[in-house]
Amino acid sequence: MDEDCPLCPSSLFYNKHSESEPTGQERHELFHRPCPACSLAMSQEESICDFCQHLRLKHLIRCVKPETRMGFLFPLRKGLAEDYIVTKCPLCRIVNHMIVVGLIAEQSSKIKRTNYDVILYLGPSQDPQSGASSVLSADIYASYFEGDGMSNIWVGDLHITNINKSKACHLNLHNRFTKEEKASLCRLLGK
Amino acid sequence: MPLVGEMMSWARLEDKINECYETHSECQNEARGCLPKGFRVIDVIKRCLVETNECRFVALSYVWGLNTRPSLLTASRATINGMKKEGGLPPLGIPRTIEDAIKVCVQLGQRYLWVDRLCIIQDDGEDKKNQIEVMEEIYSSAQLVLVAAYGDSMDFGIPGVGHLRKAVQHHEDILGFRVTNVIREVENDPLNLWHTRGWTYQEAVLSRRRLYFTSTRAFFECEQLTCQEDQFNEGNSHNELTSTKLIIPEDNSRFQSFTRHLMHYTSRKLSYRSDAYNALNGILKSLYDGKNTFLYGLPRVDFDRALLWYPDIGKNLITRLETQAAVLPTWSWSSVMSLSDHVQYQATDFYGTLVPWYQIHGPSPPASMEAVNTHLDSNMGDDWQVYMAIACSDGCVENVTFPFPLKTNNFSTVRRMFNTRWKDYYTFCKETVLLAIRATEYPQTKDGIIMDGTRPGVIVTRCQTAFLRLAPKSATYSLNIVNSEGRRIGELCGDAAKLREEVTSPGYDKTVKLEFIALSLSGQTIRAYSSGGLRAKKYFDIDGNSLAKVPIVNVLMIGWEGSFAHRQELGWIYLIDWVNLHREWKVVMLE
Repeated sequence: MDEDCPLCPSSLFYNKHSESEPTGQERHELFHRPCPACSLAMSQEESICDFCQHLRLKHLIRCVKPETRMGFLFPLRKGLAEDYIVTKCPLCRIVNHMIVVGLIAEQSSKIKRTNYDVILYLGPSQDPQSGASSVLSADIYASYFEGDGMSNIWVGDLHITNINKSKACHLNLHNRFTKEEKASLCRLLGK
Repeated sequence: MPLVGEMMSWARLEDKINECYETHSECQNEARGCLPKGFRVIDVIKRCLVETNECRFVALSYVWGLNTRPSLLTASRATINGMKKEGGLPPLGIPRTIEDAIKVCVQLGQRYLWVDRLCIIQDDGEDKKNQIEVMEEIYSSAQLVLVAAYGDSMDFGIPGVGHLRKAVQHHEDILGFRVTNVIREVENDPLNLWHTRGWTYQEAVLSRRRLYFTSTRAFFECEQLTCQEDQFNEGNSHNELTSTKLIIPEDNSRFQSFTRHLMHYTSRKLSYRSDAYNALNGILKSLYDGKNTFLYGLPRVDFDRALLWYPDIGKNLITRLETQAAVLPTWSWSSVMSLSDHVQYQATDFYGTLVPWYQIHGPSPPASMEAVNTHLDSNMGDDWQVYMAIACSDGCVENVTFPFPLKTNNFSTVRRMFNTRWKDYYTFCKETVLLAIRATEYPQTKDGIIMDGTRPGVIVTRCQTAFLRLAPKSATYSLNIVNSEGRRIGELCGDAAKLREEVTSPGYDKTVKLEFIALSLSGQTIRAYSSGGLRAKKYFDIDGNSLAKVPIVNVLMIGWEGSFAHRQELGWIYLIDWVNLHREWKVVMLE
């Protein structure tokens, strides 16, 4: 974990039950390690909030091995279960919409009474032909305290497609880098 | 491609429905039966009822719920003639769900719609009875069944057709990706009522094509495919647990199809429990052809197996219900219908009945008896002869001896000798089990008057009974059946929650003995994780070969009210233990 990153501590859970927290090294790999393959992911996009910027969605989808990212759950920005929040951030906006329309009032008020988290789970690629992450399904959960422990409510699925396949990670690797650079990148990304 | 919006987007679904009409051979009408004379449908163009039994029509499946607007039209003796006139079904007088279904028909180019409320004369008992009897034909003949799956009444309307839907689909573009929310139903929504209602179950099962409208989306389902209004939804995969098809590949027999449907159906609710048979009648008739095929919801040809139902949790005391409309006896699954505790069957192989069952007709004495379980299904487990040979040798079949015990014979000799004496299961039952009950054996009142067995819902048997005790099986569920030494010899089926509460309460008298009657033989599979104790219950022949399964006796725990017995619990006892119990033969009238 980058010591001075204010977002890291609340950005990651293990997917499987574990007594320990994800390590600083794991956070660094997912959120902070410079990634030449998707430098765009690191660039600022005005509309994206700090939390989603930190998430590096593009990097998680295109550059991190599915089995690695599927080992984690990614908490999103706090407060996403409130009624129709005003935000320019597209990910926050769509997740907020899903929660508002996807939960019954009883579930919604139960969540809001606690210090809840809204969680993103990024599943495997569903487009085996392309070999890249051109289609991906993701799940949104609300995780909250109930009694002595945590409970989860499934909110819904997200369907994620690569708008411009020519920019896909594997093509970048093939087209933009030399053989040596590509091998080095593959080692770096664990591919 | 269009997103799922506040109103229906039709293009994708219409394409698939038309494709099904034109190219799916397995979805074409199998014409299970004929539509009745005087069959009525709504002409959605002329907005009136027409009588015809030769037209392509769409049917509606929906929840009636409470009638919130008394002025709403319903077919009755008083209104039926007016409804037959052109314009006789004005939009304002029609419940919103039906009105929206009319709109769907217009959209899909279907002229005729069948809706029970408007097409059955509700205050005409005979019309109602005739139409209920042909539900199977109506729903299987319909070109398409519209399922209004959301809403608590017929006046709720169809989301996306008559009123806006709340959950709509969005795209957001983020860092070169397009993110779209997949449209699904809201979990635990209290208005998701259609799939909880008893009557709607067979409406879906009997249909060939269904167009579902939920609170958030629509989807089409036929024998061959499922198509979602939402292009981003992968579709529903159907399996044994969720399938509404009449017969699925996982069903190994007609009886298995019956048990699957019964499990689904009994998990649903009926406004009137007396509808228990009627609301399943179409499925039962489709599975088992012919008249007089069922006795209080149990198929006669599989009667001995069908008796072996049990409620999953057992949270209710099983009681007989008798109304003007129907009788729900304790031995029929109907007695637990609509009690939020679905019916199950054990996954054991069946090896044959030990008892006859009779219905009594006419005044007694002497009453005429009609054997119930004479139409025997021949689909018996492979070793049935050996099981029955053991039962005969050990006194479980009255007045029958079979002098070839396993102590001195091997399985093949026993099988051969058994087949020499009785050529098949039917012959064996006819000559041994299904013997008439003598009038003198009937239960009598204190004054010596023979009990009247003609009471509706009563079946009579002469069976072996034994008195045994119960003890908790585990920390949380079910009960063991124990013998006089306190040794476990069997179990009750299901959680038996209500009875367990009683047995585990501090004041329970642990010495109390309960009466069990032997019904039939089954075989229990020995699995890798089965305890060594189970292996000790196996049967071996003289050569040391063992039966593949462990023989068990299916038993009913009964209670008494006067001279009539009632079913309390289903259980099983190892055959090897049952034959060592003190048993008596007794005539039991089960109500």
